[in-house]
Amino acid sequence: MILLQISLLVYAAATVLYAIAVFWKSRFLALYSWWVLLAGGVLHLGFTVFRAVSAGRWPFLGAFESISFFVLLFVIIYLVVEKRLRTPSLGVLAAPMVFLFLFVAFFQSKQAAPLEPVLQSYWYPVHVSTLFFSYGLLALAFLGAWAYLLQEWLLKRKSSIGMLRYFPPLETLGDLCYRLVSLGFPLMTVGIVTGVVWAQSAWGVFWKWEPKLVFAMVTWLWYAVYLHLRYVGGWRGRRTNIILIIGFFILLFTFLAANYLPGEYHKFGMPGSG
Amino acid sequence: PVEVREKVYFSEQALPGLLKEFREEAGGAETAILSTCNRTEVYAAAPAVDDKQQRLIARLAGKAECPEDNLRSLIYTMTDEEAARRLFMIAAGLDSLVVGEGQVLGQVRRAGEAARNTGTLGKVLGRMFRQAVSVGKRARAETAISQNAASVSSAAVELGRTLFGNLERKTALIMGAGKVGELSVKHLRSAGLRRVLVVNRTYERAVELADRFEGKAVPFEEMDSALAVADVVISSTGSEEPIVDKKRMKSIMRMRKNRPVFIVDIAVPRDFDPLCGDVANCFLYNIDDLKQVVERNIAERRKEIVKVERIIDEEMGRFNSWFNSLEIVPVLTSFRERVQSIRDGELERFRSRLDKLPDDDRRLIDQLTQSIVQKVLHEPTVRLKGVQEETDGSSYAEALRRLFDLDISSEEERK
Repeated sequence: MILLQISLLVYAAATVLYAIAVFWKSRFLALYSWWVLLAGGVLHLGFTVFRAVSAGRWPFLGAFESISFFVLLFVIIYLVVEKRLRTPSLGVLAAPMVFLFLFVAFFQSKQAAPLEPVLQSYWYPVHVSTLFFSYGLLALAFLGAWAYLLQEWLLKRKSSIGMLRYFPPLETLGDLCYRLVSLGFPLMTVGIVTGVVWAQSAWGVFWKWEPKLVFAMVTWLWYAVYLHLRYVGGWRGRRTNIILIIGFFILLFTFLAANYLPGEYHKFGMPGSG
Repeated sequence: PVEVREKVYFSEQALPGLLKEFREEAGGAETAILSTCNRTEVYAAAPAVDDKQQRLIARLAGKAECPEDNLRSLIYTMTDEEAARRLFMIAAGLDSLVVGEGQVLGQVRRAGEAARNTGTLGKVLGRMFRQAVSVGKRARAETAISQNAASVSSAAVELGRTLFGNLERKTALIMGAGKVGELSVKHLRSAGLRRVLVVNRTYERAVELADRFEGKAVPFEEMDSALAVADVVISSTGSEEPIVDKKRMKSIMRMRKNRPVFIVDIAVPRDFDPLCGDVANCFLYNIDDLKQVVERNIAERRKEIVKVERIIDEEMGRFNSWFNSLEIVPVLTSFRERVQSIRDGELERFRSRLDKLPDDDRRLIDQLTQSIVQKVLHEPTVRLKGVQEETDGSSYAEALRRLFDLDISSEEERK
């Protein structure tokens, strides 16, 4: 547990560093903020492994572990993307998000529940990790969409030219979001399909019209629509980014809240789990 | 004033001859000339200033075919540290119209090279010019003095980059013709943009311009399809009325599948209806917008001036230190030699009587006298070395030289 607490603090430090690096245009700090975030991630990974070992199962059962695991994947994804983008500016958005989500996780019950029999299958890690990884990608696309909207607003407004330099070029942001979703959506599809197939072998039914699953479907459809509009319909710019932003809120709902709604099948771990 | 500057502007070919003439005039001193459209500076380094400054001015007036008195009132002269600092400031871009501009650094470098090739560059000016170039580099690398676009055309490119990032696979369209427009396209191309399309009411003019940019001319009637393809549009036609209105812009965006377009409308009256800027993914900037960008950028640059001055101070410290050491080191050496030779001389004088003393006593006297020499030399040596970085450090050395009537054997005696 201490490991996780320390990593939370390190994430907080990273948040501050990114803010200073970007807004004070400090090249020196820009280098270090990535490493600090990495340090936090390593500690976080350490905790996750430790948790898995001590609980004797994969570490994503229950709200606490789910959120923590999602954050860990998100951190990894962001670190890689930043290296490819070669700018720390998105860190200003990503680091706070990392901190916030993990902070929220701390308020969940931290007890390590045992794995229910129905979950003991090789489908379990596959289903969960593909889904969570796709969530991470889409979460970053969400942040990228915000950055895009900000950048576009500044460009249209013309009077805040100085601010423009903080974020990556508009087109780069647009492409980033598109590529993240292009990767995240198929991954989510795989995640859902593995869930469906597994359901058949575990429950005897492919599908149950439960809130969690319904929302998962809505999320999936939403991003499918985004891709269609962008790719086929040629939609571009402000509209598509707003779609991405709304999409992520739907995703969040699926991820976190839908568990608290009534349902019998897709509920594991402690009451109201992921 | 420009009429006078015109007369004292010396081309690169004229420099060698002039450098030699000025050297002669200044009695064999080192000379260097920096001549650009904004300034002409003559640098010389010699042991004593005397009347050399006046004679150089007179010679300059002769070259410029300008009455000496006229010229004198427009010239300013500097000596010693002031002069070196001035060159450093110029190299760092602090004296330029556009603070931090890069051209001047190249000009300083070339001025130094010209003097070196002609053989009029010596130790002092050589070091000064070399350090000036490094000051210029440091200023631009360590501060933001030369960053941000400071001209309308480079501001256009900078904005294009903010929109598109990599310009290599983008297409530019230039509508009409004009200096600013052409300069913008030139900057775009140096930023990596390859494809250039040109549209003009007169097809022949379009072809002519297209050739210059290795681009393609487009007939005026096909302008819409050109706009559909171009990512960056530079518009400066002489049209009295806007050529493109909002409706037309919308249909062009549809043709473009809504890919973003950056339009720089530098025409007055404007070529694009301002309402076009409201169309989604269309980013329209007119000449006033760009000028605002430039103004803000230059204000940013000015903030860096303090940092640059700090760099110049640092470098001046190093230069002073070196310059003073030129004076101080020979004097110090000579002084030490003098004191040492006094001791040796006296020992020699007393030799006959010393030889009568026992070995131990003789050695004692040796040690005693050497110790006196060391102690006497110690304080002045330390102090002289300590004073090297100060501006008038060399005056201490000069005082020492005079007081002891020292003979400096090296030819480097600088004032």
